[in-house]
Amino acid sequence: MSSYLHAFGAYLPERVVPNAELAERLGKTSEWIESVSGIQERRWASPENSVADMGLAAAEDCLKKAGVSANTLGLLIVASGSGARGFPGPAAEVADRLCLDSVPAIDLPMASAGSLFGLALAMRLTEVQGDVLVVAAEKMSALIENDPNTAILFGDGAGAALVSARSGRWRMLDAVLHTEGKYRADLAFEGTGPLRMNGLTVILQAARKIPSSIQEVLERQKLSAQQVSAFLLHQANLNLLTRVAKSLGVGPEKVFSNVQRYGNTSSASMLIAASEWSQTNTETRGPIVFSAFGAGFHWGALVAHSED
Amino acid sequence: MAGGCTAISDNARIAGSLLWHASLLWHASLLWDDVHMPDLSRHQRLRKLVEEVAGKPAPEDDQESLFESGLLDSFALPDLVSAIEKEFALKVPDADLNPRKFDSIARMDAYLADHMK
Repeated sequence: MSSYLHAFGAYLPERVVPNAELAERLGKTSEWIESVSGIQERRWASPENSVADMGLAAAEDCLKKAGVSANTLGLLIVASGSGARGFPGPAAEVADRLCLDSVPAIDLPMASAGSLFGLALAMRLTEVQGDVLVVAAEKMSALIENDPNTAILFGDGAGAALVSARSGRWRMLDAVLHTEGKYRADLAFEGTGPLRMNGLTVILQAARKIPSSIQEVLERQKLSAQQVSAFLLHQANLNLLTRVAKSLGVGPEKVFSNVQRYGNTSSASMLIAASEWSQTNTETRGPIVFSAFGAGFHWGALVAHSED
Repeated sequence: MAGGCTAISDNARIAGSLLWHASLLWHASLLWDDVHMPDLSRHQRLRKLVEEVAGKPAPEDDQESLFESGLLDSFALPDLVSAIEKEFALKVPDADLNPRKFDSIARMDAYLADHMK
């Protein structure tokens, strides 16, 4: 039985934080921030705006675009690496505010790759659960302090995707997921204190593992990277996206990017990218590939194909 | 004459002994170089790769950290590893993708010495 991607949704806080604002605080220049990350600005949520608030807004946007109401959902998955560390996680609050009654809601406390893992789980659960709404929401601004290497990168936002067994815009073909827990200390936030990132290890592993997982899932489906219409990846850093394109042997225009405007919104970024891309590429046909890499390390890729 | 011959013979023996010792030292030094000195060709190729990726001259000191010195940034590291794989026709497995192994020319040279045997 197949699963289909019906629609994406997104929410981004109104407050725009340009490089100049951070540069002054961190003792760097706007140009330096852009050169090392490709980021020009990011969005930060207001203090009263929670992970669940943003997740709910993205969920509602997605349901609206899909033309369905929340009462059709059979499962809610909410990914967040920056959500509340205690219990219950944000999934229960988002479910309650969507007026879901007795519908299971699962938290995926995963940064960066959380939305990819959520999509892959949803793809395999629609047969049993019916429509699955995957939400990823992050308030990364609450985690960063004054370390220039991390403070420049992150932004806040949320994304969502509706996955269903009913025929939809893209048929989900396959997904590969991986975890190597030995790297768990290289990118971590332990609830208090600053986010910790061993940039050299993260970049070195990501630059290898993202293309290799994409190749893995494409080879399983007997597809080549050149046949793919668009790569919708976790928006970690523009320099990384460029290198992934190079490794895959495709032009950088095939790798959608909006990290310049939103920064790295961790698990939300891939779905925010998918939401923007799908709105401006309504006529694009062929395979599309999702891929993410992040804290854990968790990483993987998923391929879908347009219907019609 | 005999004494002279003897003297010549002694000199010859001394010279022969000196030559033998010199030869021993020369062979020992070759062995020492073989064990302790880097493969000059490999070493030069590595320096060239670092300079190509960095777009700047490599440091004089092979032990100097290429990242702490600012010669390479984190995004140059994957490029450098790819360049090494291509140049030396080997695959660096994911498990070996530890920045410490590629932190300096000396460490890269040691890695290659271990993995090109």
